[in-house]
Amino acid sequence: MNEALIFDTVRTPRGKGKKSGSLNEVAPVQLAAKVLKSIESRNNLNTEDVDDVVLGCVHPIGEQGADIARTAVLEAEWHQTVSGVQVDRFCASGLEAVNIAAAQVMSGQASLSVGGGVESMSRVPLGSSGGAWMADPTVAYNSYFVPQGISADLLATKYNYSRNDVDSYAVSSQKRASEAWKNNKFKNSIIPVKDQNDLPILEVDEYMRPNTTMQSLGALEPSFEKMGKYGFDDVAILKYPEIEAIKHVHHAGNSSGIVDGAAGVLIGNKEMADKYNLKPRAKIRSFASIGSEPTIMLTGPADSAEKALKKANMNASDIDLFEMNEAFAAVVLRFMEALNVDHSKVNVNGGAIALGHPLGATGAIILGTVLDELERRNLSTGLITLCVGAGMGTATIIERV
Amino acid sequence: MNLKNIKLFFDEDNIANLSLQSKNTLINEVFINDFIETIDFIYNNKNIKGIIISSDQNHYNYDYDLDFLLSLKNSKSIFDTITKLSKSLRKLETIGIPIVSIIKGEIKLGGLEIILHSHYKIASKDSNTNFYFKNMKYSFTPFIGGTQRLPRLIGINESINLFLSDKILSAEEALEINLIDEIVDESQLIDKAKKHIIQNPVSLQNWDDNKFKNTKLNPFSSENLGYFISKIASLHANTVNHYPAVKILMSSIYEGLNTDINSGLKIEARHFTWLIQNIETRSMIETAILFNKKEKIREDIISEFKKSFEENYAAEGVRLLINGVSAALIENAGKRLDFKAGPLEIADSLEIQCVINQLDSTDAAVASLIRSMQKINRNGLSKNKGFYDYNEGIKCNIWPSLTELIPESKIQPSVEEVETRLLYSSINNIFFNYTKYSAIQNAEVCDYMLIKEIGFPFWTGGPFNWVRKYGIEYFCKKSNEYSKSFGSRFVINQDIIKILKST
Ligand SMILES: CC(C)(COP(=O)(O)OP(=O)(O)OC[C@H]1O[C@@H](n2cnc3c(N)ncnc32)[C@H](O)[C@@H]1OP(=O)(O)O)[C@@H](O)C(=O)NCCC(=O)NCCS
Repeated sequence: MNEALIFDTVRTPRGKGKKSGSLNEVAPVQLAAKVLKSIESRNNLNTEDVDDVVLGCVHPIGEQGADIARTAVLEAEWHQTVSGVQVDRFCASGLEAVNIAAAQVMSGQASLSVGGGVESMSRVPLGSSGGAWMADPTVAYNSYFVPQGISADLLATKYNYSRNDVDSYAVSSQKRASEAWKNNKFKNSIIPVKDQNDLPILEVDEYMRPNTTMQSLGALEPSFEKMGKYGFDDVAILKYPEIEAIKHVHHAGNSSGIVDGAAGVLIGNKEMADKYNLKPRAKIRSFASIGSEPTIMLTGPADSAEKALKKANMNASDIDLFEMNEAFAAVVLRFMEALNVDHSKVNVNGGAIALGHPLGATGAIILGTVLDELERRNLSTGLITLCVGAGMGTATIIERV
Repeated sequence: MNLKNIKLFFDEDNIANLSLQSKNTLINEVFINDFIETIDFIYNNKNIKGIIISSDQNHYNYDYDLDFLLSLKNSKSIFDTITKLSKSLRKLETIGIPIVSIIKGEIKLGGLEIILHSHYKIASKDSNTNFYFKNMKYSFTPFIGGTQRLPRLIGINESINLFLSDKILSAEEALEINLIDEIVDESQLIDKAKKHIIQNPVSLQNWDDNKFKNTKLNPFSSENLGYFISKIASLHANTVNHYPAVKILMSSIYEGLNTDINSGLKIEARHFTWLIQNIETRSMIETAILFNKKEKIREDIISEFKKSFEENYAAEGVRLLINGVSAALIENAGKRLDFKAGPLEIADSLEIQCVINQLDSTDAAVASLIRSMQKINRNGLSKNKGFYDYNEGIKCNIWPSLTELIPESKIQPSVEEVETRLLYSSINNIFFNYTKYSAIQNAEVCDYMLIKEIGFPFWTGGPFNWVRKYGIEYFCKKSNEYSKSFGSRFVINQDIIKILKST
């Protein structure tokens, strides 16, 4: 098997996923094309050598439809021989895209591929692609469908995470993220988004609220309580009859932020490293996706991490730093408890609660974040994982070379 | 033609007058065959200018023949029978010339399904003209196009709400929601119908008209998507995994609206074919047949039964607590069975003292728990404190310190086990009382009384029906096991076994 080497990681800043957000004026295909162009120029690529571009996108409809990966290849004016494929594993799409690109290289079927993702949540809103999972009565009944926010509150109820626990976690995410920005820790991967005249549109992650405190969070109303009353709480309890009532602890301040963004990871084999004189930064050790119970939905990261660890012949204690996507605070708390890993190793530069979670792109973004940090600290191994809709998890282990 | 159910004549304008005879008000095999024959006859007569469908007498009371539906035995015969009628009506609907329904008197669901095939519906302006809906939760879904046509006519939400209600709509209300097109004096019904036919020589349904695109019906428009997602949840919660007609209704509508009427009709028929063979559906239809007979039962008997039934249910809940089962699991098990509340909540509402009436010598721990709670004034709802905490009569939560009095076992049973025990205990309590009160003459009447008057879960079809459907042998075996582990209240009387095995 060939080694899948990581040469470069690139991402846009994350814009608030609202009409008032800075990236709202930028079409998602442009965000993705900018990432590709930047990968091309940073690595002096002749794009004819790129075999495939794999991009995660969770709502591939409207302007994100019709295979946005190939569309972005064309818009970036890459060589016409470069194919593009869009993948959807919900929130882990960006990481899944990296894993697929890695698999192409590992299997010898590609020499150079890009894995990444894009989501403009301000232009193509969360939930807009519909789906049988939630709307088809037979499917929704049989799978005890509840929206993710209800699952997050169910998880917190089942594992006894109080409002205080989840809020404390959120405050620390904000602190870490603002520290990271103060120390310019994202500079390696981040590319400013500019317009066609080279005028800047956005250069920083604009969703952060560095002044967040326990008090300011304490004032926020739970976001999913009303939704729960429509019947979703009762459906969750039908599936989890040991629970008396769902405690609604998640809100705007301890859930992942809705943002716009795109990211890409350049992956190739040794031959390509030599050809372009690229220094491999890390290799992909292993990756795994799993299915888990779909109503509680968000317990998959631990299972997928364990599966990836097993494939790499490693233990959780062999991992230097973790990036566990902060979909909701309770998800990370549960992950740390299940794998018995300390918070000091997890999301050391903050996460999606502070910075936002542009669905299709996040997996590729946080892979770049952890690799940059491993280099800064001169550590070796990183594990990236995300919880996934409908009860799944995806994890990837990287190791610096 | 020699038809029992339908009169057909042609008037001087070459309009076919098709009148349903109310001496047979039920949609059954004879009706279906008569209908098909009539439609074929009309279809082959090329000179006809239009069709008026009416009811011969003062009612349009066509409803379904429940005995007939239950008599259909296998998937193929059910599917073939209903699609035969549905296809024939579809042929009528697409004939090209105008079809007008004139409506007076009572209309039930079967009748509604038939008039939905007409292009124009005129109702008589009198207080006797009413549309009767009957909540499908307790029965079955329409099967001659009702789930496809009503939403296309009046909207998704409006249809689902009507189908899941016991509403009676007046002609005015029906006009308001677009269910019918016009209201006139009874004496003018025929004239108006003729006038409509003469003025509209070519006619088809909106759903067959390419010019007419109703975007409101797309299940994936953002409005409808949100509606479906939350409606499914609220109905799923409300039906606690029972009452399959509700899910089937939603599925027929959702799946059908994602395509055209022809595929929608097939979707509906396949769902119905499954539904009518479902054990819960059949149990509920059997009970509904009994409802129609309206047996009278003495009030004092009902209240004796009810008292014993509720106290026993509450006591079984407390016994489960004593066995280390978590209070939340016990309460949820009761709710999943579709009892009106969990056993501990019922205990509170009756005052927890009520449990004592049901205890025997093996229940010392139960009695002691009740006494401990009474000592600290947790007597039940009246004190705002019992197994639950209440705030001025409103339930808040299970009393958090309950686990200090009775700790929960580390290993909890499955919710299904708890449900089974509550159900078996309830049924055995009923059987005991049945043999005690000779005033109730037969098991079916007992089933009917329990559902109608006492709140026994409807989906079971009643305790006797349930035991027969799910297996007498198994019931006896399981009760026997329970009696060994939990006491003599699970011992089945031999007379009951005889009754169960008879018929
Ligand atoms: C939880 C959720 C519903 C909240 O949505 P929202 O209410 O629109 O959230 P907003 O970001 O607009 O915040 C609302 C308000 O909360 C307050 N707020 C948010 N974060 C805060 C913080 N850290 N400190 C203090 N106040 C805060 C602010 O007043 C804010 O209003 P403002 O932006 O006008 O100042 C939404 O963020 C969400 O769904 N997140 C999960 C996304 C998801 O499911 N992703 C896919 C699966 S992981």
